[in-house]
Parts: sequence; structure tokens; C-alpha cells
Amino acid sequence: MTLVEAYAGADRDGPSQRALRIYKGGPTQKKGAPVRLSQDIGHDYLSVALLRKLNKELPSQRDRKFAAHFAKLDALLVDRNWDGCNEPPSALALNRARAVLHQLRADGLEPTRIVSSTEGGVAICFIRGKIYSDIECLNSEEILGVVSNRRDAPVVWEIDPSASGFARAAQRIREFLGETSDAYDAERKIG
Amino acid sequence: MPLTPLRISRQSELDLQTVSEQPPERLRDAYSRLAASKDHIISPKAVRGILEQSLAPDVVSVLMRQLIGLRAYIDQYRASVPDAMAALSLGIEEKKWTEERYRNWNSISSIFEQFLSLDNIVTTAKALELSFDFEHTLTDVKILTDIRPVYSPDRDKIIGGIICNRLRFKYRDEDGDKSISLAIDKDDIEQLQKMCAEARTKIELASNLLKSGGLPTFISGEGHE
Repeated sequence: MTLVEAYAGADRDGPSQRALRIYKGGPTQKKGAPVRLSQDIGHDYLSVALLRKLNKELPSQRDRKFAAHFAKLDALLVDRNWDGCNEPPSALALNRARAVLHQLRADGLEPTRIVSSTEGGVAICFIRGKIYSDIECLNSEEILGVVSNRRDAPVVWEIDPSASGFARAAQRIREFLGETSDAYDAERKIG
Repeated sequence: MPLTPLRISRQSELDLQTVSEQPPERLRDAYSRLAASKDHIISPKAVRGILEQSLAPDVVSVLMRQLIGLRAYIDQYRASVPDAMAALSLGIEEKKWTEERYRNWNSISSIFEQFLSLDNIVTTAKALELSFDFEHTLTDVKILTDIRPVYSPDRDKIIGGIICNRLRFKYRDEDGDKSISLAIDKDDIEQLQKMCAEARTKIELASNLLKSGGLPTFISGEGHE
């Protein structure tokens, strides 16, 4: 039994059976009614334009989770009302933080929050219970990674300002936090 | 005319597999909730909100992508839902799925067909289609800021710089992706900022007007908020 037969068989006298008859060549359409069912809308029934619009209107769970973090970066860019104690994040620090955030989104590693760094710059923080980590994009043009279990001295390292550098940092933090990279994939399964 | 198998891209194939892996009772529950909605729905965000009461968020995105894509196909070719389902099933058959995958699909295909006929899906797909049915649609916009050096009369050193901006649009029309760049100055940017703020206010006012009349609204792009 073919799939279509199985499908149509579930509804012998219903519209599905009619569809099967069309497939086998039986004339079931009303005279003059359009019957064209061949495709000329690109590679799929989802045209490129529709797919683009759908992806915008129906962002993935991951995009939705990260939207708030991107909004925070936007707010840090616009907000220039600083208290005089901290130096506001520079454009370079904000751009690098944005690039890091894009990498984190691609890797499915969601930060806990984004704050301005006391040292001048942007800190992307991860807090999981007593475990802490962050990536600091500083006005001094350095990018630092920090991991801490809050018992021992924090471990700090310099992150290369490149896509591969950000990816390596994300992987190191992920391992420190004890998270797996397929956690997000599991969300596509049964919720 | 014989029914042609629907061409199914790799992404759609993965989407359909994800949908078919859902327990039928969950899909049926999602369908019942959407069917039970008393209000007319035209917004993908509103549909998503109802479906997420029964299904995982990313499953909802996948399901809606397929339902709206197939509704667009049905509307474009004036096909019936059963014809579209049969064409889809033929397309799936060409994919050489495992027996288990076929069984999964068969177990949910009737619910999937019911979804396709649901008024709230029909109206949402139509509203979405109308929301970008324009000759040109914007795909990306950015402002590029450059410094143009000014040289000394002897051209032997840079004595200053002009800061200039380009407003760069990427857009799509029937011929594909295109772009255009416009020179804009600081005053133009401030004007743009003002116009954007005003447009947001106008969106809110228009939305409130419809809501006060008891009509559903779909603000194009609202899903990305």
C-alpha cells in the first residue's frame, strides 16, 4: 500500500478518496475550475518571500530568548545617562558584545543577563546556581573570559576578537557550566 | 489533470518530520483549542499563543510554518485542502522515509488536514500574505558611516576628514534581491529618527482603533518584538 492509498483509505468515501481519484486521472473538478497543481513558486510551496516573512513573524524559541539580550545592548547604546562612576561602554565594546551574543545564540548558550562593566565595557554574565562566568568586552579593547565557582580564585583568560575566538570561549563556558550543546535541539521534540 | 507531488525542500521535510513525531493527542488538543477560540484570529502571534498551550514553542513555529505555507499554496492554485494533502503525501512518498516515519505521518495527517481547513488558520495565512503583498519588500536596512579624507593642496597629507553617511536598503521584488544607497546627513538621520517614533505612535493608534471596534489586529512584524 502506498502512502497516498493509506492516507485515502482512512476516509474511503470522503474528500481524500476524491484526491486519490484525481491522482489516478479521474476528472473530479468542476468544468472551468482551475486545476493547476504543478508548482512554479521556487523550490517549495514555501516561497522565499513567505519563508522570510514567517521566520520574522514566528521567531524560534532561541531567537525569542535572545531578543531581550539584544534589546539590552541597544539600550546600553542609547542610554548615555551615566552616574559618573562608571565609564559608558564604547562603540567597539558594544559591537564586540553584539558579535559575542550572535555566537552564543548560534551555539544555544543563553546568558543570564547583560550589564555594563564596572571596568568600562559590557559584561555578558552566566549564573547557574553558585557557578559564575562572564565575557567582558572592555573599552580597553580587551575581551576577557571569567569562570568562577565562588570558592577558588576566578580563572580569567583573554579571548581573541574573532568568530573562532568567540566560539572557543562559548565552548569553554558551556563546559564549565556543565551544559550540553544539544539542549536546544531537544526543545524541538515533545515539550 | 493528474495530481502532481508537491516538491518538498529539506527544511520542509524536517518540519513535517517534527510535526509527525508529536503525539496525535497533543496535536488534537492544540487543534481543539484553536477551533474553540470564539474570536476571529488573523495574527500569527495570536495563533502561536493558543497552540503553545499544547505544544512546545519550536514545534508550534514549525507547524505554523507548514500550515501557512500550504495555505498559501492552496490559495495560489485554488486547490482544495484534500487535493493539497494528497499532493503533499505524494511528495512525502518521494522522500523515501522509513516505515516508522510514514506511520507517524499517517497517524497525524488527518489532524493536519483539519488544521488546514480551520478558519483561524485560513484567515491568518491570508492576513500574513496580504501583509507583504507589495511590489517591493524591505529585507535589510543599515546606515553606513564613513570618513572621507581631505588632502592638502599638494596632496601630500591628510588635513581633515568629512564624516558622511549612507542609508543602505536591501529589498526584494519579483526579480530577486536588490539594493540601493542614499546619501544622508546628520539632519536627515534626526528626521528619520523622528519619523520612526511617529510611525510607532501611528501603529499604536491604528491598532487601538481596531481593538475598540472589537476587530482583531495583526501588526506586520509584531512577532519579532
